[in-house]
Amino acid sequence: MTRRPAFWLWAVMCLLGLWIALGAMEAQIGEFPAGALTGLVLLTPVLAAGVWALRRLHPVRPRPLGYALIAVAWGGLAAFGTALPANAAFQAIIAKTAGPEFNADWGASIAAPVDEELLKLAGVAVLALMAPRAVRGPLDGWGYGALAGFGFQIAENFLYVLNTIVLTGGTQDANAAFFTFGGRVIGGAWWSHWAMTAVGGAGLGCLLGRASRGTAALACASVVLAMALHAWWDSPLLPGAALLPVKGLPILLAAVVAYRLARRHYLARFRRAAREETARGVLVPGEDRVLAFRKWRRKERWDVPGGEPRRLLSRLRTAELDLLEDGFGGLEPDPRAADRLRAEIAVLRRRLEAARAGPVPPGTGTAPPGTAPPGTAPPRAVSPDAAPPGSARPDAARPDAARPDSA
Amino acid sequence: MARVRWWGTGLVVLVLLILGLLLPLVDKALGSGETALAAGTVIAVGTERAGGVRPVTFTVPAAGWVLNEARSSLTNNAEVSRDEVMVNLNVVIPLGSLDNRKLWDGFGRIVSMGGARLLGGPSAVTTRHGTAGLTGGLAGHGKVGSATVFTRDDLGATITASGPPDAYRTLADQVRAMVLSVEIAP
Repeated sequence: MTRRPAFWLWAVMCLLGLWIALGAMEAQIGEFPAGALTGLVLLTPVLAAGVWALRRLHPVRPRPLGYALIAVAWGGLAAFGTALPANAAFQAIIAKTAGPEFNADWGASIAAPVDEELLKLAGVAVLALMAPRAVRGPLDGWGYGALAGFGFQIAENFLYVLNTIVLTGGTQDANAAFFTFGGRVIGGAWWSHWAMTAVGGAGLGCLLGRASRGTAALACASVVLAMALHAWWDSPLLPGAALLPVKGLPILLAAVVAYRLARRHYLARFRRAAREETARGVLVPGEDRVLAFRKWRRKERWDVPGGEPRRLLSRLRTAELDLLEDGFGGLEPDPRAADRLRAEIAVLRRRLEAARAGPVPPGTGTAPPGTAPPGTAPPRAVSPDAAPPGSARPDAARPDAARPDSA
Repeated sequence: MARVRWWGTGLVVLVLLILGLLLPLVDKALGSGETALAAGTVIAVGTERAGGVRPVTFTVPAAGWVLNEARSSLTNNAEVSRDEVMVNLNVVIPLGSLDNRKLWDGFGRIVSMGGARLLGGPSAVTTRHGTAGLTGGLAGHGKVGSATVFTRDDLGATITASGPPDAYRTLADQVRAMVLSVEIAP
Protein backbone atom coordinates (compact mmCIF):
# COMPACT_ATOMS: atom_id res chain seq x y z
CA MET A 1 0.00 0.00 0.00
CA THR A 2 2.82 2.42 0.84
CA ARG A 3 4.17 2.01 -2.69
CA ARG A 4 1.09 3.62 -4.12
CA PRO A 5 1.00 7.42 -4.60
CA ALA A 6 -2.53 7.53 -3.19
CA PHE A 7 -1.22 6.38 0.20
CA TRP A 8 1.14 9.33 0.39
CA LEU A 9 -1.58 11.67 -0.80
CA TRP A 10 -3.80 10.35 1.99
CA ALA A 11 -1.04 10.73 4.61
CA VAL A 12 -0.03 14.24 3.52
CA MET A 13 -3.64 15.45 3.26
CA CYS A 14 -4.54 14.05 6.69
CA LEU A 15 -1.57 15.85 8.25
CA LEU A 16 -2.30 19.04 6.31
CA GLY A 17 -5.97 18.90 7.28
CA LEU A 18 -5.07 18.38 10.93
CA TRP A 19 -2.70 21.35 10.78
CA ILE A 20 -5.31 23.62 9.18
CA ALA A 21 -8.03 22.52 11.61
CA LEU A 22 -5.82 22.98 14.67
CA GLY A 23 -4.72 26.38 13.40
CA ALA A 24 -8.37 27.40 13.08
CA MET A 25 -9.42 26.05 16.47
CA GLU A 26 -6.42 26.25 18.80
CA ALA A 27 -7.23 29.73 20.15
CA GLN A 28 -10.77 28.64 21.06
CA ILE A 29 -9.56 25.37 22.57
CA GLY A 30 -6.96 27.25 24.64
CA GLU A 31 -9.46 29.84 25.91
CA PHE A 32 -12.35 27.43 26.52
CA PRO A 33 -10.67 24.17 27.55
CA ALA A 34 -13.64 22.90 29.57
CA GLY A 35 -15.99 23.17 26.59
CA ALA A 36 -13.45 21.66 24.21
CA LEU A 37 -12.73 18.78 26.58
CA THR A 38 -16.42 18.13 27.20
CA GLY A 39 -17.02 18.10 23.45
CA LEU A 40 -14.18 15.66 22.97
CA VAL A 41 -15.43 13.38 25.75
CA LEU A 42 -18.97 13.40 24.32
CA LEU A 43 -17.97 12.89 20.70
CA THR A 44 -15.33 10.18 21.11
CA PRO A 45 -17.77 7.37 22.02
CA VAL A 46 -20.07 8.53 19.22
CA LEU A 47 -17.18 8.20 16.80
CA ALA A 48 -16.38 4.69 18.06
CA ALA A 49 -20.03 3.59 17.96
CA GLY A 50 -20.58 5.05 14.50
CA VAL A 51 -17.50 3.37 13.03
CA TRP A 52 -18.54 0.08 14.62
CA ALA A 53 -22.06 0.32 13.23
CA LEU A 54 -21.08 1.45 9.73
CA ARG A 55 -18.42 -1.27 9.48
CA ARG A 56 -21.03 -3.90 10.30
CA LEU A 57 -23.60 -2.53 7.89
CA HIS A 58 -22.78 -5.22 5.34
CA PRO A 59 -24.82 -8.34 4.57
CA VAL A 60 -21.93 -10.81 4.67
CA ARG A 61 -18.89 -9.56 6.59
CA PRO A 62 -17.81 -6.38 8.34
CA ARG A 63 -15.59 -4.00 6.45
CA PRO A 64 -11.88 -4.30 7.39
CA LEU A 65 -11.04 -2.01 10.30
CA GLY A 66 -7.95 -0.62 8.56
CA TYR A 67 -9.88 0.49 5.48
CA ALA A 68 -12.64 1.91 7.68
CA LEU A 69 -10.14 3.98 9.66
CA ILE A 70 -8.51 5.23 6.45
CA ALA A 71 -11.90 6.52 5.29
CA VAL A 72 -12.76 8.04 8.69
CA ALA A 73 -9.37 9.76 8.93
CA TRP A 74 -9.78 11.20 5.45
CA GLY A 75 -13.20 12.59 6.31
CA GLY A 76 -12.27 13.92 9.75
CA LEU A 77 -8.86 15.33 8.91
CA ALA A 78 -8.15 15.74 5.19
CA ALA A 79 -11.64 16.63 3.97
CA PHE A 80 -12.56 18.67 7.04
CA GLY A 81 -9.30 20.64 7.11
CA THR A 82 -9.45 21.41 3.39
CA ALA A 83 -13.11 22.37 3.60
CA LEU A 84 -12.39 25.18 6.08
CA PRO A 85 -10.54 27.50 3.65
CA ALA A 86 -12.53 26.22 0.66
CA ASN A 87 -15.90 27.04 2.24
CA ALA A 88 -14.70 30.42 3.48
CA ALA A 89 -13.40 31.33 0.03
CA PHE A 90 -16.49 30.04 -1.78
CA GLN A 91 -18.87 31.94 0.50
CA ALA A 92 -16.74 35.08 0.19
CA ILE A 93 -16.99 34.78 -3.61
CA ILE A 94 -20.78 34.46 -3.35
CA ALA A 95 -20.96 37.45 -1.00
CA LYS A 96 -18.84 39.57 -3.32
CA THR A 97 -20.72 38.61 -6.47
CA ALA A 98 -24.31 38.18 -5.25
CA GLY A 99 -24.28 40.34 -2.13
CA PRO A 100 -24.13 39.63 1.59
CA GLU A 101 -27.92 39.23 1.96
CA PHE A 102 -28.00 36.47 -0.65
CA ASN A 103 -24.92 34.89 0.91
CA ALA A 104 -26.51 34.95 4.36
CA ASP A 105 -29.54 33.08 3.03
CA TRP A 106 -28.10 30.76 0.39
CA GLY A 107 -24.30 30.87 0.68
CA ALA A 108 -23.98 27.81 2.88
CA SER A 109 -26.39 25.77 0.77
CA ILE A 110 -24.35 26.50 -2.37
CA ALA A 111 -20.76 26.35 -1.11
CA ALA A 112 -20.87 23.50 1.42
CA PRO A 113 -22.48 20.84 -0.81
CA VAL A 114 -19.98 21.39 -3.60
CA ASP A 115 -16.87 21.65 -1.43
CA GLU A 116 -17.69 19.12 1.22
CA GLU A 117 -19.26 16.38 -0.87
CA LEU A 118 -16.38 16.42 -3.36
CA LEU A 119 -13.82 16.42 -0.56
CA LYS A 120 -15.47 13.59 1.36
CA LEU A 121 -16.00 11.49 -1.76
CA ALA A 122 -12.36 11.99 -2.68
CA GLY A 123 -11.74 9.75 0.35
CA VAL A 124 -13.54 6.85 -1.36
CA ALA A 125 -11.47 7.38 -4.50
CA VAL A 126 -8.23 7.62 -2.51
CA LEU A 127 -9.05 4.41 -0.64
CA ALA A 128 -9.79 2.63 -3.95
CA LEU A 129 -6.47 3.86 -5.32
CA MET A 130 -4.60 2.82 -2.16
CA ALA A 131 -6.28 -0.55 -1.81
CA PRO A 132 -8.12 -1.56 -5.02
CA ARG A 133 -9.69 -4.57 -3.25
CA ALA A 134 -11.46 -2.25 -0.82
CA VAL A 135 -13.91 -0.73 -3.32
CA ARG A 136 -15.43 -3.23 -5.72
CA GLY A 137 -18.93 -1.94 -6.16
CA PRO A 138 -21.74 0.26 -4.87
CA LEU A 139 -21.94 -1.40 -1.44
CA ASP A 140 -18.27 -0.70 -0.74
CA GLY A 141 -18.66 2.85 -2.05
CA TRP A 142 -21.70 3.31 0.17
CA GLY A 143 -19.88 2.01 3.25
CA TYR A 144 -16.64 3.92 2.86
CA GLY A 145 -18.52 7.03 1.75
CA ALA A 146 -20.58 6.79 4.93
CA LEU A 147 -17.42 6.33 7.02
CA ALA A 148 -15.65 9.30 5.39
CA GLY A 149 -18.79 11.37 5.90
CA PHE A 150 -19.04 10.25 9.49
CA GLY A 151 -15.44 11.27 10.20
CA PHE A 152 -16.23 14.68 8.71
CA GLN A 153 -19.41 14.88 10.76
CA ILE A 154 -17.61 14.27 14.06
CA ALA A 155 -14.89 16.84 13.27
CA GLU A 156 -17.55 19.37 12.27
CA ASN A 157 -19.51 18.69 15.46
CA PHE A 158 -16.41 19.49 17.47
CA LEU A 159 -16.03 22.76 15.56
CA TYR A 160 -19.69 23.52 16.30
CA VAL A 161 -19.03 23.05 20.01
CA LEU A 162 -16.42 25.81 19.77
CA ASN A 163 -18.62 27.96 17.53
CA THR A 164 -21.53 27.64 19.97
CA ILE A 165 -19.29 28.90 22.78
CA VAL A 166 -18.51 31.99 20.69
CA LEU A 167 -22.15 32.39 19.66
CA THR A 168 -23.13 32.55 23.33
CA GLY A 169 -20.67 35.38 23.81
CA GLY A 170 -18.31 33.17 25.79
CA THR A 171 -20.92 32.86 28.56
CA GLN A 172 -21.19 29.09 28.19
CA ASP A 173 -18.41 26.58 28.18
CA ALA A 174 -19.28 22.96 28.89
CA ASN A 175 -22.98 23.74 28.44
CA ALA A 176 -22.29 24.67 24.83
CA ALA A 177 -20.84 21.20 24.31
CA PHE A 178 -23.95 19.55 25.79
CA PHE A 179 -26.19 21.79 23.71
CA THR A 180 -24.31 20.98 20.50
CA PHE A 181 -24.32 17.29 21.36
CA GLY A 182 -28.07 17.33 21.87
CA GLY A 183 -28.79 19.25 18.69
CA ARG A 184 -26.28 17.84 16.27
CA VAL A 185 -25.76 14.29 17.54
CA ILE A 186 -28.96 13.16 19.25
CA GLY A 187 -31.21 15.29 17.08
CA GLY A 188 -29.34 15.52 13.80
CA ALA A 189 -26.84 12.70 13.37
CA TRP A 190 -29.34 10.46 11.61
CA TRP A 191 -29.39 12.42 8.36
CA SER A 192 -26.10 14.23 8.43
CA HIS A 193 -22.85 13.93 6.44
CA TRP A 194 -22.61 10.14 6.63
CA ALA A 195 -25.93 9.74 4.82
CA MET A 196 -25.21 12.26 2.07
CA THR A 197 -21.75 10.88 1.31
CA ALA A 198 -23.04 7.30 1.45
CA VAL A 199 -25.42 8.15 -1.40
CA GLY A 200 -22.62 9.71 -3.46
CA GLY A 201 -20.25 6.91 -2.50
CA ALA A 202 -22.62 4.21 -3.78
CA GLY A 203 -22.55 5.69 -7.27
CA LEU A 204 -18.82 6.28 -7.14
CA GLY A 205 -18.40 2.65 -6.02
CA CYS A 206 -20.19 1.50 -9.19
CA LEU A 207 -17.68 3.40 -11.31
CA LEU A 208 -14.65 2.28 -9.29
CA GLY A 209 -15.85 -1.32 -9.40
CA ARG A 210 -16.45 -1.45 -13.13
CA ALA A 211 -15.76 1.51 -15.41
CA SER A 212 -18.25 2.09 -18.19
CA ARG A 213 -20.32 4.94 -19.56
CA GLY A 214 -23.27 3.70 -17.58
CA THR A 215 -21.42 3.56 -14.26
CA ALA A 216 -19.81 6.94 -14.97
CA ALA A 217 -23.26 8.44 -15.50
CA LEU A 218 -24.49 6.73 -12.34
CA ALA A 219 -21.53 8.09 -10.37
CA CYS A 220 -22.17 11.64 -11.62
CA ALA A 221 -25.88 11.36 -10.84
CA SER A 222 -25.24 10.08 -7.32
CA VAL A 223 -22.70 12.82 -6.57
CA VAL A 224 -25.19 15.42 -7.79
CA LEU A 225 -27.89 13.79 -5.65
CA ALA A 226 -25.59 13.89 -2.60
CA MET A 227 -24.93 17.58 -3.25
CA ALA A 228 -28.65 18.25 -3.71
CA LEU A 229 -29.46 16.54 -0.40
CA HIS A 230 -26.74 18.57 1.30
CA ALA A 231 -28.05 21.78 -0.28
CA TRP A 232 -31.57 20.93 0.86
CA TRP A 233 -30.36 20.48 4.44
CA ASP A 234 -28.39 23.74 4.47
CA SER A 235 -31.06 25.78 2.69
CA PRO A 236 -33.21 28.35 4.50
CA LEU A 237 -36.34 26.41 3.48
CA LEU A 238 -38.39 24.94 6.35
CA PRO A 239 -36.60 26.89 9.08
CA GLY A 240 -36.93 26.07 12.76
CA ALA A 241 -35.84 23.17 14.93
CA ALA A 242 -39.30 21.59 14.93
CA LEU A 243 -39.12 20.99 11.18
CA LEU A 244 -35.63 19.48 11.18
CA PRO A 245 -36.93 15.88 11.13
CA VAL A 246 -39.08 16.75 8.09
CA LYS A 247 -36.02 18.21 6.44
CA GLY A 248 -33.74 15.34 7.41
CA LEU A 249 -36.02 12.44 6.60
CA PRO A 250 -35.54 12.57 2.79
CA ILE A 251 -31.76 12.41 3.34
CA LEU A 252 -32.03 9.37 5.59
CA LEU A 253 -34.48 7.79 3.18
CA ALA A 254 -32.12 8.33 0.24
CA ALA A 255 -29.28 6.70 2.19
CA VAL A 256 -31.48 3.71 3.14
CA VAL A 257 -32.70 3.24 -0.44
CA ALA A 258 -29.14 3.52 -1.77
CA TYR A 259 -28.05 0.91 0.77
CA ARG A 260 -30.86 -1.48 -0.12
CA LEU A 261 -30.07 -1.20 -3.84
CA ALA A 262 -26.33 -1.62 -3.27
CA ARG A 263 -26.96 -4.58 -0.98
CA ARG A 264 -29.25 -6.27 -3.49
CA HIS A 265 -26.62 -5.74 -6.20
CA TYR A 266 -23.93 -7.23 -3.93
CA LEU A 267 -25.99 -10.26 -2.94
CA ALA A 268 -26.96 -11.01 -6.53
CA ARG A 269 -23.32 -11.13 -7.52
CA PHE A 270 -22.42 -13.02 -4.36
CA ARG A 271 -24.97 -15.73 -5.13
CA ARG A 272 -23.89 -15.93 -8.76
CA ALA A 273 -20.24 -16.29 -7.77
CA ALA A 274 -21.14 -18.90 -5.15
CA ARG A 275 -23.11 -20.91 -7.73
CA GLU A 276 -20.17 -20.84 -10.13
CA GLU A 277 -17.65 -21.89 -7.50
CA THR A 278 -19.94 -24.64 -6.27
CA ALA A 279 -20.33 -25.93 -9.82
CA ARG A 280 -16.56 -25.75 -10.17
CA GLY A 281 -16.22 -27.83 -7.02
CA VAL A 282 -14.33 -25.24 -5.04
CA LEU A 283 -17.23 -24.77 -2.64
CA VAL A 284 -19.05 -27.71 -1.15
CA PRO A 285 -22.81 -27.68 -1.88
CA GLY A 286 -24.50 -25.83 0.95
CA GLU A 287 -21.34 -23.97 1.92
CA ASP A 288 -22.52 -20.82 0.18
CA ARG A 289 -25.38 -20.63 2.64
CA VAL A 290 -23.02 -20.74 5.61
CA LEU A 291 -20.76 -18.18 3.95
CA ALA A 292 -23.60 -15.75 3.46
CA PHE A 293 -24.51 -15.43 7.12
CA ARG A 294 -22.21 -14.09 9.78
CA LYS A 295 -24.32 -15.76 12.46
CA TRP A 296 -23.95 -19.19 10.92
CA ARG A 297 -20.25 -18.76 10.34
CA ARG A 298 -19.95 -17.90 14.03
CA LYS A 299 -22.07 -20.87 15.06
CA GLU A 300 -20.17 -23.37 12.97
CA ARG A 301 -16.98 -22.39 14.78
CA TRP A 302 -18.47 -23.75 18.01
CA ASP A 303 -18.57 -27.22 16.45
CA VAL A 304 -14.89 -27.15 15.59
CA PRO A 305 -12.30 -27.86 18.27
CA GLY A 306 -10.46 -24.77 19.46
CA GLY A 307 -6.91 -23.99 18.44
CA GLU A 308 -5.58 -24.93 15.01
CA PRO A 309 -8.83 -26.38 13.54
CA ARG A 310 -10.77 -23.26 14.42
CA ARG A 311 -8.06 -21.03 13.02
CA LEU A 312 -8.01 -23.07 9.83
CA LEU A 313 -11.78 -22.86 9.50
CA SER A 314 -11.62 -19.12 9.92
CA ARG A 315 -8.91 -18.85 7.26
CA LEU A 316 -10.88 -21.12 4.94
CA ARG A 317 -14.00 -19.00 5.21
CA THR A 318 -11.99 -15.80 4.66
CA ALA A 319 -10.36 -17.26 1.56
CA GLU A 320 -13.74 -18.41 0.25
CA LEU A 321 -15.29 -14.99 0.77
CA ASP A 322 -12.27 -13.35 -0.87
CA LEU A 323 -12.74 -15.68 -3.83
CA LEU A 324 -16.43 -14.90 -4.18
CA GLU A 325 -15.74 -11.16 -4.06
CA ASP A 326 -12.74 -11.37 -6.36
CA GLY A 327 -14.80 -11.16 -9.51
CA PHE A 328 -16.79 -8.17 -8.34
CA GLY A 329 -14.41 -5.72 -10.01
CA GLY A 330 -12.18 -2.97 -8.69
CA LEU A 331 -9.62 -0.58 -10.06
CA GLU A 332 -6.85 -3.12 -10.49
CA PRO A 333 -8.25 -6.63 -10.85
CA ASP A 334 -5.66 -9.38 -10.46
CA PRO A 335 -6.37 -12.09 -13.08
CA ARG A 336 -4.40 -14.68 -11.11
CA ALA A 337 -6.02 -14.02 -7.77
CA ALA A 338 -8.96 -16.40 -8.30
CA ASP A 339 -6.75 -19.41 -9.11
CA ARG A 340 -4.48 -18.55 -6.21
CA LEU A 341 -7.44 -18.40 -3.84
CA ARG A 342 -8.89 -21.68 -5.19
CA ALA A 343 -5.59 -23.41 -4.56
CA GLU A 344 -5.41 -21.89 -1.08
CA ILE A 345 -8.96 -23.03 -0.33
CA ALA A 346 -8.10 -26.59 -1.39
CA VAL A 347 -5.04 -26.65 0.84
CA LEU A 348 -6.90 -25.15 3.79
CA ARG A 349 -9.75 -27.61 3.33
CA ARG A 350 -7.35 -30.57 3.38
CA ARG A 351 -5.55 -29.25 6.44
CA LEU A 352 -8.83 -28.64 8.22
CA GLU A 353 -10.09 -32.14 7.45
CA ALA A 354 -6.83 -33.51 8.77
CA ALA A 355 -6.96 -31.39 11.88
CA ARG A 356 -10.56 -32.42 12.59
CA ALA A 357 -9.71 -36.09 12.05
CA GLY A 358 -7.01 -35.94 14.70
CA PRO A 359 -3.24 -36.28 14.66
CA VAL A 360 -1.95 -37.40 11.28
CA PRO A 361 0.50 -40.30 11.30
CA PRO A 362 3.88 -39.33 9.96
CA GLY A 363 4.37 -39.91 6.24
CA THR A 364 0.68 -39.89 5.31
CA GLY A 365 0.59 -36.26 4.22
CA THR A 366 -2.05 -33.74 5.17
CA ALA A 367 -4.79 -34.81 2.78
CA PRO A 368 -7.10 -37.48 4.16
CA PRO A 369 -8.71 -39.88 1.71
CA GLY A 370 -11.65 -38.48 -0.15
CA THR A 371 -10.68 -34.82 -0.04
CA ALA A 372 -11.19 -33.08 -3.31
CA PRO A 373 -8.55 -31.46 -5.40
CA PRO A 374 -9.41 -28.08 -6.92
CA GLY A 375 -11.82 -28.30 -9.77
CA THR A 376 -13.52 -31.50 -8.66
CA ALA A 377 -16.64 -31.93 -6.63
CA PRO A 378 -15.76 -32.77 -3.03
CA PRO A 379 -17.59 -35.65 -1.43
CA ARG A 380 -18.98 -33.74 1.53
CA ALA A 381 -19.00 -30.39 3.22
CA VAL A 382 -16.16 -29.43 5.53
CA SER A 383 -18.55 -29.46 8.37
CA PRO A 384 -21.76 -31.33 7.76
CA ASP A 385 -23.23 -29.84 10.89
CA ALA A 386 -22.33 -26.39 9.68
CA ALA A 387 -25.69 -26.05 8.00
CA PRO A 388 -27.83 -23.47 9.74
CA PRO A 389 -29.64 -24.84 12.75
CA GLY A 390 -33.18 -25.80 11.99
CA SER A 391 -32.73 -25.75 8.24
CA ALA A 392 -32.40 -28.56 5.77
CA ARG A 393 -29.07 -28.82 4.00
CA PRO A 394 -29.38 -27.16 0.61
CA ASP A 395 -29.87 -29.39 -2.33
CA ALA A 396 -26.62 -29.75 -4.25
CA ALA A 397 -28.54 -29.60 -7.51
CA ARG A 398 -30.06 -26.25 -6.54
CA PRO A 399 -27.28 -24.23 -4.95
CA ASP A 400 -29.11 -21.02 -5.70
CA ALA A 401 -31.67 -22.05 -3.13
CA ALA A 402 -29.40 -20.31 -0.66
CA ARG A 403 -30.54 -16.73 -0.45
CA PRO A 404 -28.44 -14.73 1.95
CA ASP A 405 -30.48 -11.84 3.15
CA SER A 406 -29.34 -11.10 6.64
CA ALA A 407 -28.01 -7.64 7.43
CA MET B 1 -5.03 -0.70 -15.26
CA ALA B 2 -1.95 -0.18 -13.07
CA ARG B 3 -1.62 3.27 -14.57
CA VAL B 4 -4.86 4.26 -12.90
CA ARG B 5 -2.97 4.57 -9.62
CA TRP B 6 -1.12 7.55 -11.13
CA TRP B 7 -3.73 9.38 -13.16
CA GLY B 8 -6.44 8.53 -10.64
CA THR B 9 -4.36 10.02 -7.86
CA GLY B 10 -3.63 12.99 -10.12
CA LEU B 11 -7.35 13.51 -10.62
CA VAL B 12 -7.94 13.57 -6.85
CA VAL B 13 -5.06 16.03 -6.44
CA LEU B 14 -6.65 18.23 -9.12
CA VAL B 15 -9.96 18.30 -7.22
CA LEU B 16 -8.13 19.13 -4.00
CA LEU B 17 -6.17 21.92 -5.70
CA ILE B 18 -9.30 23.44 -7.22
CA LEU B 19 -11.13 23.48 -3.91
CA GLY B 20 -8.27 24.21 -1.54
CA LEU B 21 -6.18 26.56 -3.66
CA LEU B 22 -8.08 27.87 -6.68
CA LEU B 23 -11.15 29.03 -4.74
CA PRO B 24 -9.07 31.14 -2.29
CA LEU B 25 -7.15 32.58 -5.25
CA VAL B 26 -10.37 33.55 -7.04
CA ASP B 27 -11.63 35.09 -3.80
CA LYS B 28 -8.41 37.09 -3.53
CA ALA B 29 -8.63 38.17 -7.15
CA LEU B 30 -12.13 39.56 -6.56
CA GLY B 31 -10.65 42.08 -4.13
CA SER B 32 -11.92 43.12 -0.74
CA GLY B 33 -15.59 43.14 -1.73
CA GLU B 34 -16.69 46.34 -0.08
CA THR B 35 -20.02 48.11 -0.43
CA ALA B 36 -20.02 51.85 0.19
CA LEU B 37 -22.60 52.85 2.80
CA ALA B 38 -24.54 56.09 2.74
CA ALA B 39 -25.06 58.06 5.93
CA GLY B 40 -28.07 56.73 7.79
CA THR B 41 -27.86 53.21 6.32
CA VAL B 42 -29.34 50.71 8.75
CA ILE B 43 -27.56 47.35 8.89
CA ALA B 44 -29.54 44.42 10.24
CA VAL B 45 -27.92 41.33 11.73
CA GLY B 46 -29.21 38.04 13.17
CA THR B 47 -31.32 35.12 12.06
CA GLU B 48 -34.27 36.31 10.01
CA ARG B 49 -37.58 36.34 11.83
CA ALA B 50 -41.06 36.33 10.34
CA GLY B 51 -41.25 38.88 7.58
CA GLY B 52 -37.54 38.63 6.85
CA VAL B 53 -36.56 40.99 9.67
CA ARG B 54 -33.18 40.60 11.38
CA PRO B 55 -33.40 41.47 15.08
CA VAL B 56 -30.24 43.53 15.77
CA THR B 57 -29.65 46.78 13.88
CA PHE B 58 -27.21 49.68 13.90
CA THR B 59 -27.00 52.84 11.83
CA VAL B 60 -24.05 54.16 9.87
CA PRO B 61 -23.64 57.77 11.06
CA ALA B 62 -21.79 59.27 8.10
CA ALA B 63 -20.70 58.57 4.54
CA GLY B 64 -17.31 56.97 3.96
CA TRP B 65 -17.93 53.70 5.73
CA VAL B 66 -18.00 50.43 3.77
CA LEU B 67 -19.54 47.05 4.50
CA ASN B 68 -17.05 44.22 4.24
CA GLU B 69 -19.17 41.72 2.31
CA ALA B 70 -16.93 38.70 2.70
CA ARG B 71 -16.58 39.15 6.45
CA SER B 72 -20.24 39.90 7.11
CA SER B 73 -22.44 36.83 7.38
CA LEU B 74 -25.38 39.00 8.52
CA THR B 75 -26.80 35.92 10.24
CA ASN B 76 -24.17 36.30 12.96
CA ASN B 77 -22.22 39.46 12.31
CA ALA B 78 -21.57 42.55 10.22
CA GLU B 79 -18.29 44.36 9.75
CA VAL B 80 -17.94 47.94 8.56
CA SER B 81 -14.71 49.83 8.13
CA ARG B 82 -13.26 53.22 7.27
CA ASP B 83 -9.64 54.31 7.12
CA GLU B 84 -8.35 51.12 8.80
CA VAL B 85 -10.88 51.43 11.61
CA MET B 86 -13.08 48.38 11.80
CA VAL B 87 -16.37 48.00 13.62
CA ASN B 88 -17.69 44.48 14.07
CA LEU B 89 -21.08 43.65 15.54
CA ASN B 90 -21.79 40.06 16.59
CA VAL B 91 -25.14 38.71 17.67
CA VAL B 92 -25.12 36.68 20.89
CA ILE B 93 -27.60 33.89 21.46
CA PRO B 94 -27.48 32.81 25.09
CA LEU B 95 -28.30 29.28 26.18
CA GLY B 96 -29.41 30.44 29.62
CA SER B 97 -29.99 33.70 31.44
CA LEU B 98 -27.85 36.57 30.22
CA ASP B 99 -26.90 39.92 31.70
CA ASN B 100 -24.43 42.57 30.67
CA ARG B 101 -21.84 41.72 33.31
CA LYS B 102 -21.84 38.04 32.43
CA LEU B 103 -21.60 38.85 28.73
CA TRP B 104 -18.78 41.34 29.35
CA ASP B 105 -16.75 38.67 31.17
CA GLY B 106 -17.40 36.07 28.47
CA PHE B 107 -16.65 38.55 25.73
CA GLY B 108 -13.31 39.31 27.36
CA ARG B 109 -12.34 35.67 26.81
CA ILE B 110 -13.38 35.81 23.15
CA VAL B 111 -11.41 39.01 22.62
CA SER B 112 -8.33 37.43 24.16
CA MET B 113 -8.57 34.58 21.63
CA GLY B 114 -7.58 37.09 18.97
CA GLY B 115 -4.65 38.37 21.02
CA ALA B 116 -6.35 41.60 22.18
CA ARG B 117 -7.56 42.48 25.69
CA LEU B 118 -10.26 44.56 27.34
CA LEU B 119 -8.90 47.51 29.33
CA GLY B 120 -10.02 48.22 32.88
CA GLY B 121 -13.53 47.92 34.25
CA PRO B 122 -16.44 48.66 31.93
CA SER B 123 -18.72 51.65 32.27
CA ALA B 124 -22.46 51.72 31.73
CA VAL B 125 -23.84 52.87 28.40
CA THR B 126 -27.39 53.26 27.11
CA THR B 127 -28.33 53.39 23.44
CA ARG B 128 -30.66 55.94 21.90
CA HIS B 129 -33.32 53.24 21.95
CA GLY B 130 -32.89 52.68 25.67
CA THR B 131 -30.94 49.43 25.61
CA ALA B 132 -28.47 49.27 28.52
CA GLY B 133 -24.99 47.87 28.12
CA LEU B 134 -21.37 48.01 29.22
CA THR B 135 -18.44 49.57 27.38
CA GLY B 136 -14.70 49.76 27.87
CA GLY B 137 -11.36 50.14 26.14
CA LEU B 138 -9.74 47.57 23.87
CA ALA B 139 -6.09 47.16 22.88
CA GLY B 140 -3.92 44.71 21.01
CA HIS B 141 -1.73 44.24 17.94
CA GLY B 142 -0.77 47.95 17.98
CA LYS B 143 -4.42 49.01 17.74
CA VAL B 144 -6.73 50.76 20.14
CA GLY B 145 -10.48 50.82 20.31
CA SER B 146 -13.54 50.02 22.33
CA ALA B 147 -15.68 47.02 23.20
CA THR B 148 -19.36 47.18 24.08
CA VAL B 149 -21.96 44.60 25.03
CA PHE B 150 -25.74 44.86 25.11
CA THR B 151 -28.34 42.35 26.25
CA ARG B 152 -32.09 42.24 25.95
CA ASP B 153 -34.33 39.29 26.79
CA ASP B 154 -33.03 36.30 24.88
CA LEU B 155 -30.57 38.12 22.66
CA GLY B 156 -27.36 40.07 23.00
CA ALA B 157 -24.87 41.95 20.87
CA THR B 158 -21.15 42.59 21.14
CA ILE B 159 -19.41 45.38 19.28
CA THR B 160 -15.70 45.84 18.84
CA ALA B 161 -14.19 48.90 17.19
CA SER B 162 -10.46 49.13 16.64
CA GLY B 163 -7.81 50.71 14.48
CA PRO B 164 -4.46 52.45 14.52
CA PRO B 165 -4.46 55.05 17.36
CA ASP B 166 -4.55 58.15 15.10
CA ALA B 167 -7.23 56.81 12.79
CA TYR B 168 -9.34 55.61 15.69
CA ARG B 169 -9.14 58.96 17.51
CA THR B 170 -10.29 60.72 14.34
CA LEU B 171 -13.35 58.48 13.97
CA ALA B 172 -14.08 57.89 17.68
CA ASP B 173 -17.20 60.09 17.64
CA GLN B 174 -18.65 58.24 14.65
CA VAL B 175 -17.87 54.90 16.26
CA ARG B 176 -19.62 56.02 19.44
CA ALA B 177 -22.64 57.16 17.40
CA MET B 178 -22.76 53.78 15.72
CA VAL B 179 -22.60 51.99 19.07
CA LEU B 180 -25.36 54.17 20.52
CA SER B 181 -27.56 53.40 17.48
CA VAL B 182 -27.70 49.67 18.26
CA GLU B 183 -31.21 48.37 18.68
CA ILE B 184 -32.21 44.87 19.70
CA ALA B 185 -35.77 44.04 18.71
CA PRO B 186 -37.79 42.39 21.46
